[in-house]
Amino acid sequence: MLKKTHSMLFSASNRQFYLSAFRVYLACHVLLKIALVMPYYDFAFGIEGLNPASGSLPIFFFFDQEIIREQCFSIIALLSVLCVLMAFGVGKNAVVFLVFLLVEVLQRSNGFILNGGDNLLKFNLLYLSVCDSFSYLSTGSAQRRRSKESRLSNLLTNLGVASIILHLLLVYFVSAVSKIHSDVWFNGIAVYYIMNLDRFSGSALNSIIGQNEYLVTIGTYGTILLELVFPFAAFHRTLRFPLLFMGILLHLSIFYFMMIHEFQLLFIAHYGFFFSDQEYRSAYCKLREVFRVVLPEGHVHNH
Amino acid sequence: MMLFRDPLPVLGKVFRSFLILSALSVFAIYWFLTLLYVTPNNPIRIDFDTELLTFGSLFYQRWSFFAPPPRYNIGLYYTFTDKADPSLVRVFDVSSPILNSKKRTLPYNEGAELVDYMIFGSVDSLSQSIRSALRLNKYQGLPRTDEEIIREILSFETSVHPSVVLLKRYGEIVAAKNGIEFEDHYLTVTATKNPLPRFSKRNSPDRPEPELLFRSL
Repeated sequence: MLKKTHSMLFSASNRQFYLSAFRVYLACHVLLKIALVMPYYDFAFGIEGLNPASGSLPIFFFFDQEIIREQCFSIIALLSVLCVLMAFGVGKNAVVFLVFLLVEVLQRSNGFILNGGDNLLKFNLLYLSVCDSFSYLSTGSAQRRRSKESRLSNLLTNLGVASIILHLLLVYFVSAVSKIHSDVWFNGIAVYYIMNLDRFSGSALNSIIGQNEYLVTIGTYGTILLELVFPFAAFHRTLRFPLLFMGILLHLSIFYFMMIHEFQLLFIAHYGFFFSDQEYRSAYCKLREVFRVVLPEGHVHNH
Repeated sequence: MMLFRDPLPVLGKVFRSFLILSALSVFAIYWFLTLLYVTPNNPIRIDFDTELLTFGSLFYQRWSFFAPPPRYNIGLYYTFTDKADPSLVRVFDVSSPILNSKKRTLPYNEGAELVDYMIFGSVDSLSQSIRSALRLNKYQGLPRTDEEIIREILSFETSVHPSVVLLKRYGEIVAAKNGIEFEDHYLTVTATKNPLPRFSKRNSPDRPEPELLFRSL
């Protein structure tokens, strides 16, 4: 048991491929957010904007909120450049950490516009900044894969990956337990209220679903069940496929019916961590056989 | 000679072991505090209250989404009263345009979403602040009247509550959009709670009456 734990902690991570893909995804996620909200940044963060925040920024005491509001476009431009560097793996962990810092500064300067996705994003960036996520999809990755990483680097990467996965499982579990504690969820009618909220009414189907007792009850209890079971079944070889499929369905439903977008995509993006590098390699080989297309030789690192 | 072996490899190994131990310790402590932070109030959590306050300032997180979901929709109305002639009053429904814009500009509705989060987030924050202040006042034995507390929070002229300031700033935008001179008018912000019918009465033609959430002073 001790030997197995020691091996798990100090061997090279078997999530290197998806870790690299996740790094690229997070960089694109932040870039997309910037691009979509760019026309409104002055409104949210600028001097002439709505945000009344003043004084020094919580935690980042050397940042005065007036400076951030005056320089919001410079900060956002810098963040965009760092995200591009992060996507290509330039600057390695230092750039990832800087992205985390700037995202945190922007989040603290206007707490009104944040949602759970922004909260989770912050933690993902923090964990990613200690991981070696540069074995794939980055400059010099081929050479990196050939070289042997230090025990400390492997440990930090494994702890970082474990933290990313643990945090997702924690979110599901806490969300489920909070729901069970709430009357409307316990009694199977929460989806009725959610579907009838004007703020989150994304389609004409919302009111139809909200009126139907079967859909309401199945939706309510189904959500609780999925979130409760997820942390325990996500690594089960047989159960994880239907579980992840149901999870994707849940998040896409929230995406469509409740108009909550990047948040749901971020959750779905975590699901790749439930497959190892060997499984990705095996899937890639099978894909090549099925399609009989000349694809580059898979280089998913063997452990 | 053995006594005079180069100490650097040994020191390097000691330093590496120290780093590894530190990493494992930080991981263990971080996750212990995270798990404690997300649990509801319990005796162990209360014991670590000070540490969790500091932890929360760095790693704030709340994962109880829609638990419970709101059971009402919010209506927000801005009333501009002419200072020179108080009989001249203009009332604007502020909530409906924001929500309509959010739906109309799907799927790229980030702009409308920003306004939604800021305005309705402020309304939620303000009503929670009022409730908390009233509850605290009661807990402290009612040293002040409810009216004094509400006046302190909702007075648009003097309040420093961030949500009040934000709603007032939005009033300037609404005024400008409707050709109203903001400085020449008094602004009153009224938020209402429009309760959703109970599930068992969802098909009933009778709808619950809107209730006042707060009105600025």
